[in-house]
Amino acid sequence: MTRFLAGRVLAGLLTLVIYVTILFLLAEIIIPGDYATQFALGMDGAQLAELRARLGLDEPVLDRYLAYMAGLARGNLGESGSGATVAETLKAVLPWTLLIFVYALAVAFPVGHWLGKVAGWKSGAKGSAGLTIGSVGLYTIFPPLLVFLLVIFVSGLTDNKGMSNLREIFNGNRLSQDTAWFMLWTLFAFAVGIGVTGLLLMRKDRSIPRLVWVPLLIAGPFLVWAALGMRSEVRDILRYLALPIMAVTILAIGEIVLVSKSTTAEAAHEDFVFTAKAKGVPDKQIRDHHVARFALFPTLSKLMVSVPFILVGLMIIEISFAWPKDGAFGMTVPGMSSALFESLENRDTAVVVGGLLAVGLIVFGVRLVLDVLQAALDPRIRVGSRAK
Amino acid sequence: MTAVATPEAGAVPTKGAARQEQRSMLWARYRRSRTGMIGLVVLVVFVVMAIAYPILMNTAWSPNIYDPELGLDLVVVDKVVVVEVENARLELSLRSARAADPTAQIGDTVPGRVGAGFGFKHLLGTDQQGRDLLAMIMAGAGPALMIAISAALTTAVVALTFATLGAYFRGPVDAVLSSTSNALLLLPAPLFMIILGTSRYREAFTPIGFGVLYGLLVGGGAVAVVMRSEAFTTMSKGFIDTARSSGAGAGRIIGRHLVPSLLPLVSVSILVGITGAIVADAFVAFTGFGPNRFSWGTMLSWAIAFPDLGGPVPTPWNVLIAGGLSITLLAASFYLIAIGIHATFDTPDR
Repeated sequence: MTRFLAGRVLAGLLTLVIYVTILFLLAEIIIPGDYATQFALGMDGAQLAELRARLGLDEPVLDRYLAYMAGLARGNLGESGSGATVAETLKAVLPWTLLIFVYALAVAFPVGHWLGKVAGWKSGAKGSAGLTIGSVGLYTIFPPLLVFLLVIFVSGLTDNKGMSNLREIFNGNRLSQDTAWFMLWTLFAFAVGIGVTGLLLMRKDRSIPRLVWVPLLIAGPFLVWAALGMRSEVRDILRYLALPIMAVTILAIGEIVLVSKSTTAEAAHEDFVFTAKAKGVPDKQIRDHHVARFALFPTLSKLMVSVPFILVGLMIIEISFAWPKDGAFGMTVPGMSSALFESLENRDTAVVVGGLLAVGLIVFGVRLVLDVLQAALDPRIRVGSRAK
Repeated sequence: MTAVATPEAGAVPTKGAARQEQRSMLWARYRRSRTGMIGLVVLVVFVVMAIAYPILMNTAWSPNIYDPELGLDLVVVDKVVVVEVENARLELSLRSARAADPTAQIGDTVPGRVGAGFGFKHLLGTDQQGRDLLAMIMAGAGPALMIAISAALTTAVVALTFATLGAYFRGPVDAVLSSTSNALLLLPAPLFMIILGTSRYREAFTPIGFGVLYGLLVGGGAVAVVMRSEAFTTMSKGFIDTARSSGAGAGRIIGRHLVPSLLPLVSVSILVGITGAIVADAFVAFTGFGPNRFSWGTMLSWAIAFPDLGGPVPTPWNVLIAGGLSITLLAASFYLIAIGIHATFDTPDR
């Protein structure tokens, strides 16, 4: 297991190095000008040269690349043009994006897997085709459209003032950074707890009724936070992040249902299903205890490819709520995409590369967790990788 | 020579007939997939729109009214009420009213121009600047389909190249190709396209240029990863060894054996990739970082960025929903077709 883990981590690190190299070189080649360019009108040539020298922008690309990589090895993401380190900039925005991401996945995965299981088991039935088309609709929905629809719905609910009311809700004070990180870690713990409980229940052949676990899953993180004495923060999260969380959960469920449905449909033709049928095991029990369990692993491994897309969908949704700044919506969702867009406008290459690196790291982290989970539960994977 | 040619000439029609029979069998199987048929119908509707648009513009539709960018059909009405924040048709914000008449007060009734709205002339209504919505949707169908086609072809070529070369040569070739794929898999393609959109290369984002670039990213990344594992499975099958022992070289094995066996999976993967390309292009245009060309994304960007230019409708929900829905439906149609194709080739009895 240790060897397997070390191998996966090494391969992942190599991939990350290639990824950063591609990012750095592309950002250098593609983004026109540099951080100093935006001041070109207000400064003379000597001042510009001095600013460039201070930021190290006057050195050749290769030297800067090597310096950047050496810094990365020490955990230094470089400095943004405005003086703050990139790590600080990212630290301020990351918890918001991750809160949405982890919460949405923690809700979407169990619900999506269950829906996919139902649709895949009777893949010829009428309801199944409807569910498939619905999931495709959710999966391919243009994220801004989802945002429009949510905004119409909610602004219709609040009162006649609608939009301007909603804008006030969004543009309030931010929660402090430390609280956000603390909430993120408790959410992580909650998600891990859910996963472990789910697996334990599966082993013991027990299940909780749907009507209990679905609401519990949705309300769970808020109950945990409230129990930890963060009532006002819970209210703020509901104010700022409820709509983005809803949007991302809807988006992710579509994809998870589709993947889970196809793996369940494949598993339904395995030999052990016929054996169980021949033994006279009830249909529902075959579905829940034999097929769904078998389909869990292929679902997880297929979702590895989808994780980056869900993350991108999240960032698009963040932007859609906040876009354009003075336009019809202009709602501020604190998060990765706001930092990324600001730095793009300022030609702040270090933050752009750092932000995309953070996205890569999140994807890499999720894939590693899924890898380990699979290897821990399925001996064939770790033995197979050693045999190669 | 003739002795050799005769049996071959005799074999040709039967071979063609067999192929045709196989084709009609596949079509019959595809037709059984309800989702696949729905996707096909939606796609055909968009293709018809794209074809009909230039015809209509040259005959029935006057460019003055129906041009998606410059056409306008405004009606002057004198019942527009000045309010603090406009929320409905026939309302005008104080700011906009003061621009025309500095003495305007809240509650005044002033003449104003509004888009012609819904009616037989404008089936889907007009946006707040009086542009016909149906014409805009139809004008956007063509570019979106071009993106789809170019993205599909590029994805297929790149993914097949990566997967087959890796699976055939293995070793260092595979190591380089698969680690490139894994690195590209981490790259969020739509965000990367936005970064490109801020650069001097933004004018390369013609529909075809955008599709090709997106195809390179996705074809070399996610699709190549999926194809690679399938190609490895195919390479371990008996018929590859047979071909190899009968003297087939790399080109023949890859071209005649590996690629055909991958085609069903390729077609499914690239259709899913198209979905991403359409959404990504619309998204880049929506944020306003894209090039200067008309698309559904641009339409949404205009609708949201200029809420009170020309007419007093603050948030043109008809434009936002119709535009967003077109993007979603076209993207979904490719995905639904992919499910249909998957069902056609992947039967339980296989």
